[in-house]
Amino acid sequence: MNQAVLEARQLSMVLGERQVLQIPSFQVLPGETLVIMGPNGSGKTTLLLCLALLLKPTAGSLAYHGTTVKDAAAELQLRRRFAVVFQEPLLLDTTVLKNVTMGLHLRGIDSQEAKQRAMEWLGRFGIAALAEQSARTLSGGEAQRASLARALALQPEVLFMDEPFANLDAPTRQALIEDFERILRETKVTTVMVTHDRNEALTLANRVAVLIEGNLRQIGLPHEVFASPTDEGVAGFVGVENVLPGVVSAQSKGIATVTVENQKIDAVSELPAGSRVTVCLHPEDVTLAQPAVEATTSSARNHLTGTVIKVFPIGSQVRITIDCGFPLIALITRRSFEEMGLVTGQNIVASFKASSIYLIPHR
Amino acid sequence: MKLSARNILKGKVKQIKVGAVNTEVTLKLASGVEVVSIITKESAENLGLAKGKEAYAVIKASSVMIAVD
Repeated sequence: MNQAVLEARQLSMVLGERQVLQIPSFQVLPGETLVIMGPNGSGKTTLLLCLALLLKPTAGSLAYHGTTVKDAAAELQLRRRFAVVFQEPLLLDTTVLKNVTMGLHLRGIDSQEAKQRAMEWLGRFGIAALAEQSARTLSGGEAQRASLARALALQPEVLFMDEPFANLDAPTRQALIEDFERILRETKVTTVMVTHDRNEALTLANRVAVLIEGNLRQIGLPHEVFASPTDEGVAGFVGVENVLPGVVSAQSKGIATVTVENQKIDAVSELPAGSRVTVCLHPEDVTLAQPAVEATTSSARNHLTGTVIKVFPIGSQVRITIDCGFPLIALITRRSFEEMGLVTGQNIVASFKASSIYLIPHR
Repeated sequence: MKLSARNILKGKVKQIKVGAVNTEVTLKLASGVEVVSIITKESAENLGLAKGKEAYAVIKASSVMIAVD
């Protein structure tokens, strides 16, 4: 394993009487894009600012390539290897070009090289034509592009970003994320980014860290965190809307039958009978059928009959809540919803595969 | 329409690979395209799947990724 570029150890932050951060160890690996996710108030930004040396933690230390950062001089030297991008672009009231060259001048780069580098980065972000324009005239998306160009022109060893796309409208955000993803792939600059947007995390992250109430609940590859959350808090945050308490009532050749309320749910799992578990199921993995469809004609092992109790359209999809003895949420396309003529009060069969279930064992 | 899944593809079972827990079933569609599915061994037995038997691959729209060359 590559040695960490940065490692925070025994990091703790107390504000007033509130412990806002308590993390035994947190590593940033070379060349990775590490996305820190979590609900509002979970300590994401505090962690980012501590790693970027912009906020002093109550306790704990930071190591750079294995060497502990000991004094203010070392901190200052290290800070010059970092660049930070915030949710607000924070541009100065001058031209776009000067906004980008200013940081380079402060780091002792001569004017010609600074201009060359700034133009290169403005070009990579598609706004070279705006170089001589006043930064005040930029749209939100253009301003954030200028802010990213300014940060990357510094050729930072680590780029820190705090919800950089959160203030942009959907199409602007999507276009910028696509460009940024390409630039990350090309430059491989080590990046730590805070977001609460799951799609951003899935698009950009090599690793995802989930922070809840100041604690690092899970860190791993995006598909691991999203498909196999370690606890209910992470499961809820990564979009597993069906999080149900149950007990394994039978185990047969790798299939665990879990009793949830009075229903039986089959899951691919080796957990023995008697295990207390949390059943996790993504709503995207639930298929709905009219009761007339014979369950035995499908390979899906789970077919729960219930009543539609809530219908909530989300863009091109519809979120359906079904009472099966417990509320079960399914996400289907609006077209299927209309073709099936679903209404509240209607009986329906919710089907899902045993392999779509992820069981979290209770310790 | 009786099922919410948007893609229901008819084919014939081309191959069945039985594992310890799961069975891998390959369906060949009329177009010649093959679709591979992992289902539990017991489900494969319950459905009476056998080489040459007609079956459907049922895929939710949200599960389909699109890629370009």
